[in-house]
Amino acid sequence: MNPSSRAVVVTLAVVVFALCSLAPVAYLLAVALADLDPAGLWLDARQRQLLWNTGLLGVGTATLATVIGAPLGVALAHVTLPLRSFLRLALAMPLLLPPYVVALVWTYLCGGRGVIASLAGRDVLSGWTYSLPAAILVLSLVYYPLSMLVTEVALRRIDGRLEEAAVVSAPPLLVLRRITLPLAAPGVLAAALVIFVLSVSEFGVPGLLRVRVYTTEVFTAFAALYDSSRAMLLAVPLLLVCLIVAFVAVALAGERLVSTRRGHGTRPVLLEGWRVPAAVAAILAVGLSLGVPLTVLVREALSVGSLSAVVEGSGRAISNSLVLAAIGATAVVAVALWLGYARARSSGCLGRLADVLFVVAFAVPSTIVGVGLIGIWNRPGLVGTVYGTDVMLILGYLARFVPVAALAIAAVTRYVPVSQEEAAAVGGAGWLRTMTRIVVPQIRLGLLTAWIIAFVLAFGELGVSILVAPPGEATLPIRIYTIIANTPPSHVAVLALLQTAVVLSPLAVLALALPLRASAGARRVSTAAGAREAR
Amino acid sequence: MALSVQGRLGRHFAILLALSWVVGCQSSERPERMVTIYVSTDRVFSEPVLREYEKRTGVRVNAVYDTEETKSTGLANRLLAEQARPLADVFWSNEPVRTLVLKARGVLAPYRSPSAEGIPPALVDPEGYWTGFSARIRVIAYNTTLVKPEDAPHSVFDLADPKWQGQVAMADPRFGSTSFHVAALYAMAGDEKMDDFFRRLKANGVRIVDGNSVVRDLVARGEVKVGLTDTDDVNVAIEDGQPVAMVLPDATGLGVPVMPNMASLVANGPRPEEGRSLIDYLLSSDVERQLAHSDAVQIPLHAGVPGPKNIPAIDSFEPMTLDFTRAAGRVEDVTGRLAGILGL
Amino acid sequence: MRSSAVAVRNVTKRFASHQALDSVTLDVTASESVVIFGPSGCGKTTLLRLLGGLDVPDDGEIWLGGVQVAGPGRSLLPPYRRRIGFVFQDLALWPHLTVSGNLEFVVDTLKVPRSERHRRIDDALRLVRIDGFAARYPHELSGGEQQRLALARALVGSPRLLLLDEPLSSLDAELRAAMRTELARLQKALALTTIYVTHDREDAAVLADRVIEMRAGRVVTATGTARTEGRA
Repeated sequence: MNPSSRAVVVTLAVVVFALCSLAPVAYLLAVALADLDPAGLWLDARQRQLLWNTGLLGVGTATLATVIGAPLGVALAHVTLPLRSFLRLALAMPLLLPPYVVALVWTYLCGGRGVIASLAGRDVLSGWTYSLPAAILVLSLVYYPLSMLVTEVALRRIDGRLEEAAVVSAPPLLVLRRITLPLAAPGVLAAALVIFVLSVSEFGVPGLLRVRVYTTEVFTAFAALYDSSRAMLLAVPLLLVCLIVAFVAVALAGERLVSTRRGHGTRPVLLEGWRVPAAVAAILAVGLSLGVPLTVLVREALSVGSLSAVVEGSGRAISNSLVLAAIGATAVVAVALWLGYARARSSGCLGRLADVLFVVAFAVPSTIVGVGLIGIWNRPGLVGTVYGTDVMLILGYLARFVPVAALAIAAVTRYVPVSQEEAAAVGGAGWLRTMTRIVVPQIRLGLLTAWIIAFVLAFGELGVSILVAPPGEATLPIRIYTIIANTPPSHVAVLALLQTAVVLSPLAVLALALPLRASAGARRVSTAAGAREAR
Repeated sequence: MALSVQGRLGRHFAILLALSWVVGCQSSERPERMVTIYVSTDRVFSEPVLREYEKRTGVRVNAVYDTEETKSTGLANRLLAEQARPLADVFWSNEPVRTLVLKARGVLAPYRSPSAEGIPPALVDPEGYWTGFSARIRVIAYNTTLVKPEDAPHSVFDLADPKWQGQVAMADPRFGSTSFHVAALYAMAGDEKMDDFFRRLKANGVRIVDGNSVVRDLVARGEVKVGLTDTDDVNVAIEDGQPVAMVLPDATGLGVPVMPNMASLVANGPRPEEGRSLIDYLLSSDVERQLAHSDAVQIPLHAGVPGPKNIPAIDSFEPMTLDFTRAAGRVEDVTGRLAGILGL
Repeated sequence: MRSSAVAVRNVTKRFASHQALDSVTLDVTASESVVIFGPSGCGKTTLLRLLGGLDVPDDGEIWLGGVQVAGPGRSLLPPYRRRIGFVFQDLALWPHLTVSGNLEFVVDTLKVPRSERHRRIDDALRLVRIDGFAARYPHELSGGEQQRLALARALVGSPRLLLLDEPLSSLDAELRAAMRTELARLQKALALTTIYVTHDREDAAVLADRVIEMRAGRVVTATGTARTEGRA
């Protein structure tokens, strides 16, 4: 046992997290407080309206996304759906669509002269096109896969014996309602919390759909008034909202509920009669959240005379984006692993505080992170040599995405019993060896998931990137968003499709490799289960 | 044993660091001469101009382009944040407000370019912090199948007429060229008159949308009959054969709102000499010609440079005689007023 | 024969390449306590799972109380209709429910009035002597108390057949002996048909009316025990 190596590595990760994620906010807050009287900015009538809209957007999206996603997760875990791996992939894909693009599609569809109006022969939806419910719907269609995937993972992690013990005395639906779902609830709740934070810190969708929330107000302080201090102070209530919601969620989830053991290979079939309705619902969800946006985009894109003229010259931006997102995701996971581990191994107040801190750090609007990073790094001397290089983009990715990766990794690390580490320590292994040989192999699927999440988020990152990217051709989102100024909708559609296709390509390769490995794993488990049953 | 694992981990970190260093260095393998410019003029229009400069001089141009005003908080904030140690040598803005904010905050340095010769003095900063070139105009676009030319509104103030109830669109007046336009109107016509106008416009059911291109699209599709937007946006639709035409508003009265590009030197930029050379080029007749003949249809300010088609020449109408500094000074106050009046 | 409490007829079950049960036939009469004894992997747990309806036989028939509940490749009666109590080797207590919550889940499926349900829960807890712990969560109980809770949960629904899968295997020797005596007491008091799977000869000696020994998926011997002879 080498307790000092553990202390060193965890401390190092905490320092990186503090430097990247917390320092920019602290820096801007310090500047802002020195600059402005905070009292004048808080909770006049306008602020109360912002608070209400922001809360409604977050709670509404978290609820709707869970209502759509969680049942699909149940279906994936408990119904033998045809082509399950393929369905899961298709159902998860909306997460890759930039929310802004989905909102754009919504406006194409529902405007007074939009597709729906021309199909219906009259204007049915234009009153709702630019509204809070529309923003909730759009964000839910993008974020429901999070709830779905987390629910499925949570259900698969439930010890099959707990369900079997229930099946012998109650009908399947009752087992699902009173045993299975409550056991999966902490996971579902955690996903809802992440969706809440994602939607209240989203700027593109409420901006386009003209919903007044804190992010748009922060944006206005920057874009209309060039006032970063005011923007920072405006972000404080947003962060407070996230703080409160995170506290409530953490209190609700509690520690007791996460003590479920690793799942067994056998699992009673709970929803056999639901194959057809579940398949129909899944296909409907794919159609609505993926089929409709892609169809509308392709339809718009086809009206472009020459596709190559639009896409031309994007090669450098694409390769930059892929390389940077891959390095960024790797760096994010490399830091988040130790933070997540430390979180999983600390209980009580400290652990809960860490959860809350991750959630709040994740909610900081990207422009604030960007301006804060510039303030910290763009200075004379050694520190300044980093500024103006691509390292800034990696720091930006670390700042924004380490918290969410750490939350995800903490969740999976909790399933590795402490006793295994103790056994390794007793066996003479140092802590790092125990981590690399005992803990990491058991959470590698979780690490891969965290990597993919970080990759997708980093690939699509715009808010920080556009502020800290070195001059010259930078990333694909920057290229796309700087090109779409003043281009017709058809060109926007082509570029949106391009971005989706590019981020999809490496993930499709991973996804094709994954089911094989996952099913190989399942086979191993089921033969082990078979051997056990045969006793 | 633990040591060897630490060693391996150390190697992973080293590889990671090396990788990020390699990526970082992609942008530092630079040719001898280079210049960095931040550009808020649409990339599709500005990039060809900068490429042409590279071709002519061999100087590598590192450009950072801006998104549409409503998509990101933009380059002005980046310039402000980087003020202590700027990366940029030149700032090329597509409207006056941002430049004047940056001047007021001490981000810019004065430079009087010889190429400014021949540009109307009203469009050149007497202190030399900015020089106007290639201008756009704020226009009223109307749908030609729904509105006859003689019925089209001829002043911005006509848009509050109940005749256009529910038929007017404009971009969010807190951002971009629209913010310049409304600040100019407040500076010219006075607060009382403008507050009243926007109250009536609100009562008239004006549609506030995400950008000037959206205004154009709404007009082109006939979702609204008229809208306030920019010349370049309207031109795209005209070239596309859509039923849109434009009116230069307030030609009699306040004057037509002309909105030049502005080139400025960044204070304490890393390569001031290269910056000055690039500004000289941007202000040249060649660039004005290029921007006039591209889809940007920007109006040349140098006398004798042929103007774009679809757009009247600069000497054919009465431009708004505007003190840009005064207009820009009103932006914060006007933004607050309009947020209240229009419920933004 | 088919009126016996449990009748297993030529039941066969394979897992992948492993023959778990090879044409097993077995009868248990009402109130009889049968211990299935054998080494790990002999198929005894599989037999219990087939009786409980958690798996389906590849071939053969299973009858409970004169009703066929499973045939070749299909279940004819879902587990929750078979009226069985099942104690799992690892107990499988529901961690999100309290002690009484664990029992409530079972009695809520019975069509009896609310007051009757409470009475049954109280009775079951008293029967296994953990009636002071109703509000605790499983992880707040000691190993022996958890064991008793698992037993109470299996009994509270008034099953006609109790299936126990090595329920004492995780206990230390002293506690194991105490629980074994406790089980024997309950068995006598309730006169419940019981099938008990173990690889421990002590369990077999104390708890069984009859011991069935299995090896490699087959029943090798069936012997009465001292207990039966004493009773007879």
